Amino acid sequence: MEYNERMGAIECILFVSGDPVPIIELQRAIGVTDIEMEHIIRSMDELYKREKRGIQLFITAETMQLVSNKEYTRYVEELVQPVQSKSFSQSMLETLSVIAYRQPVTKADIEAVRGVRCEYAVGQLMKLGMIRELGRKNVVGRPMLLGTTDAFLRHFGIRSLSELPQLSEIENAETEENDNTEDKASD
Amino acid sequence: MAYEVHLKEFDGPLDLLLHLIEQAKVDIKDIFISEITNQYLSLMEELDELDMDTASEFLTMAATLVYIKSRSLLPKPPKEAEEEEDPEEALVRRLKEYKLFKQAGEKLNELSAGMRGVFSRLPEEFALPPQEYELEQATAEELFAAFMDVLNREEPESSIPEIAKKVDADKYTVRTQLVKIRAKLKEGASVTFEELFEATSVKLEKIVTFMALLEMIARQEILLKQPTPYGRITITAYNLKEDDADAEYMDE
Repeated sequence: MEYNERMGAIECILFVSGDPVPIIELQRAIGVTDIEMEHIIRSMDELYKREKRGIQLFITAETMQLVSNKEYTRYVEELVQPVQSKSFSQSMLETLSVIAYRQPVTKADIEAVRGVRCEYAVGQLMKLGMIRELGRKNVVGRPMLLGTTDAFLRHFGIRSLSELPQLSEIENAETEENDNTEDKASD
Repeated sequence: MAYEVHLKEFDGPLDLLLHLIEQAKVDIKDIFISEITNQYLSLMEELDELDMDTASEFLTMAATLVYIKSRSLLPKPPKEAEEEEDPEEALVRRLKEYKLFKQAGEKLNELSAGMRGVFSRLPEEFALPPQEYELEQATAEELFAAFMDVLNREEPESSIPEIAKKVDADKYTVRTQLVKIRAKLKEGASVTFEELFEATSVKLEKIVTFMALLEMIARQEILLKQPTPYGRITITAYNLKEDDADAEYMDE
């Protein structure tokens, strides 16, 4: 298969699938090595961005998906009104941030930070597919260890957990604000 | 300073304390030299409006605040080397930590706002050929049933040796059978469960071969597939081990 055809095949699978597709499955389907796959993905991503295409690739560490280019959202909205996803409540966001930064965590760990029970928020986040069980902690009661999912990365538009805003930067931005300095932490 | 706050608006005692601290424009570490404890306690009158669980969370914090206040009125006991964390320090640490995650949550919200204009398609719907019934790993019961079949196929041992005087050394071990199975799998892509036992004649060999098979499943050297319920079980190589000198098997 030629290089262009490989890109075409990947694009075709992603179009038909709609949902995010695991990269290892794609790799198996077109039969290339890890390094080749990485190279193909990177050149596809660059190509789509360079040509300012209406369809862009959303790539995380595990999966790949075709998504609309948000630069053109206002034009889309001229014609159709896509359903906006609901935003999270404050308690869900706080719970999710503890899980995202501290994973793997137990419910007790989350409650220790927030000072309130978190069953409801955890249940909702599970239902929305933002978090999942990573295993059980080897202590009395064997509590569930929670962590974030690939869907979490996609919802927040980051490709890996390392792209989360740094906690130290959030802390520093706070102290700098108090000192009335203009130097804001870069995003 | 006249402002009204209601307990119901807050997501727990830490959230309320943080709000009072922000209103009073003081630093978290100065919480105990401000009016915040009094403000917090005056809000406890509204506790009746809350459900029991939430009320108890607020009440626990109220008790902590009163405890810290009462400690500050008493002369401090001499510090012991391995003392527990000072309740005052502990609360300041918890408040700071909570504030950090609250802010991180706000950052996450900003991130998701950035993704709000991004849409994806639903999967394409098209008729697929009927799905092949494939059990990725045949069940233990079926494996057992297949093994019993193999054992029963052999003619019943007609005669028990009259005098068993000699005990031979084990002719078949898991290790030797493992080598045989591996070699067989290297020859062809897959082998059926029955084929594996074709060459075996003695009951002991069958049993040891089966034990070796179980070992290989446990070590993820092979995959078992069964296309239909009660159908033929095929064995394919998955992660064959080349060298197992340091492995220990159940019959050793």
